[in-house]
Amino acid sequence: MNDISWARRIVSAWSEFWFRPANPLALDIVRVAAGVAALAWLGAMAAHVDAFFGLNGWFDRQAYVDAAQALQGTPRPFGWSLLYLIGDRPEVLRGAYFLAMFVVLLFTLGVLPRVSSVGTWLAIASFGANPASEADDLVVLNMLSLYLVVGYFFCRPAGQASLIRRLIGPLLAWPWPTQSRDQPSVGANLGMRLAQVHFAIIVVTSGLQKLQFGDWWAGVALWYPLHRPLETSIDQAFAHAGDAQQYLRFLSVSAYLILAWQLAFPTFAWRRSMQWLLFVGAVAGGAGLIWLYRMPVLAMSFFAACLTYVPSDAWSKLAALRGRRAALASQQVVGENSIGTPEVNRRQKRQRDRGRTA
Amino acid sequence: MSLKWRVVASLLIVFHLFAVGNCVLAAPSGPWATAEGQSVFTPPQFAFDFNNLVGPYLWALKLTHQRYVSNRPNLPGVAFEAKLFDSNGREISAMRFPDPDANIWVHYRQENLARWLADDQPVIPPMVEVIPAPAAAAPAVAIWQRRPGGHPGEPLKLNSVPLHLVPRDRPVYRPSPWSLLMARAYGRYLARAHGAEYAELTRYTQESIPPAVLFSDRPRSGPEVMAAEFGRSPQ
Repeated sequence: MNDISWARRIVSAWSEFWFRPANPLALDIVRVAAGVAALAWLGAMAAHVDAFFGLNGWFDRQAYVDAAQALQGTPRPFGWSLLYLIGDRPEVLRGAYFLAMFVVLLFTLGVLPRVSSVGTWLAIASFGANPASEADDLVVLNMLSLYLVVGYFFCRPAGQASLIRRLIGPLLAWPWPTQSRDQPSVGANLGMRLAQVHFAIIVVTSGLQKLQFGDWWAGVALWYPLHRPLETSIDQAFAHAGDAQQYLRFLSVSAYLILAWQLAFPTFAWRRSMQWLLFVGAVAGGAGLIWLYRMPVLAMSFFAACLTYVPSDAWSKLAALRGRRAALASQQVVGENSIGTPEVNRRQKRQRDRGRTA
Repeated sequence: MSLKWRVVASLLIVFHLFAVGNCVLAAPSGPWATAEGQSVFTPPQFAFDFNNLVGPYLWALKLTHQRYVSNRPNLPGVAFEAKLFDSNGREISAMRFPDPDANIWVHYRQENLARWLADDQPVIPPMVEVIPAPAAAAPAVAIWQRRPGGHPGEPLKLNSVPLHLVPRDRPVYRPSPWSLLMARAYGRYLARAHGAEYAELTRYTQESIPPAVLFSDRPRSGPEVMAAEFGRSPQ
């Protein structure tokens, strides 16, 4: 009997976590953050389109042929890209680039998000596929854009929608609409949940990977990006010799805080009372990624991924503060997205049931 | 959402997330310290097998990323210089990457380009004498070498050496096939983009200054900057 009760609770918690309908507001806000990151990345490469994305660039057609002939030399198989269909026509490549920028802009603004999210994911996947432009920093952005596709795909339009409207989804999904846009949707929740769990896997495994290196255990890992070879003279490195112990103490505490934040991530990311810790880490981590590691795309997408953990009702409250409580009150689902204790979940269910009965 | 769809969706979620988590496990780990020195270990067999099974699925979704290079501290610094020559062999231009004037987004990508060139591999001389087939050349390997009698600061050059003549009295390195492929591709691109006949790439690497320097007497200079010439890449 006890086992059955436990099994029921697990099934109920699973169902509550993944399939509770949620306000699409959180999806919209994460979309804006991810869209800005994608726009910034693509925009910054405007003067280097041929070099980094084309088959006449740093990694050209001949390099693909050579790599195919000596596969044991390639570190990993090449990813797919729609840009391969263009071949080595630079003017068509530039057209594709501006089209991608336009689609990502529409996506960021929330125009036809179900369609533009697919276009944005294809753009990020395709423009990041060339080995010359492929790098660590697009991993989180690619992951987010994929789950935003899932979220918008399963979002239902409000009211009695026509067939076309049901196919293309909402026309405009700017956060904080003046009136109710979409019904609370399982899709909106599912997209955010997938992003949350996947991001937690990335954060924890990245923390575990750090433990493979003695410099992280020794607490001196941050010394190296602060004193980059080929950029740091011996005088610059020696500048802290006077306060060496204090300096290394600060670096080692910082390194261990990073490790602790990453390895403990799943224990606080979903808890409302500890979301301050999530965002302290997101802001500090983002600043470190830009300043130390010079990875602005990863910093921006890292912050966007942390936004997925903010429950929709928190965004709704923020919207209400802006004087739009009435527009969102109908969509608000108390406590969605947070993992409550069984007591809290039961209390919230009773409240909802009472609301329905009334 | 009906119970049937919840079950189906749950199975898909479990499959997807398991595939994503397994992909990380399926990467080689390390380098770990062993009695024989540093060593990279193979992934667990179950993770490797499952990853082979779901590889195409993750590849289609672009979720095959396994390890962050930026997690590895103490990587050597890498830059490269390209000299461009016209058909008369006159140098027409020289440029260095990562370009210090490039914006942070482009600079990061140029750093990655440079990093591909620094993937050197040790060359282990064969334990037995390799005898070529009649009328065939002895198998050779391209290794980094200074010219005989060259001083220590002189650039390394890529020389093709018969396998049985690979020096046994010191560690010998060669660029990985991928580094060579990238170097040729960069040279072709730069020559093409700047109307040159060919390009010559030189890689510069420098080990990090260790934090232990803070507790020692001030050294006169930092670690040596090693130059290595990849040779000529025609357009």
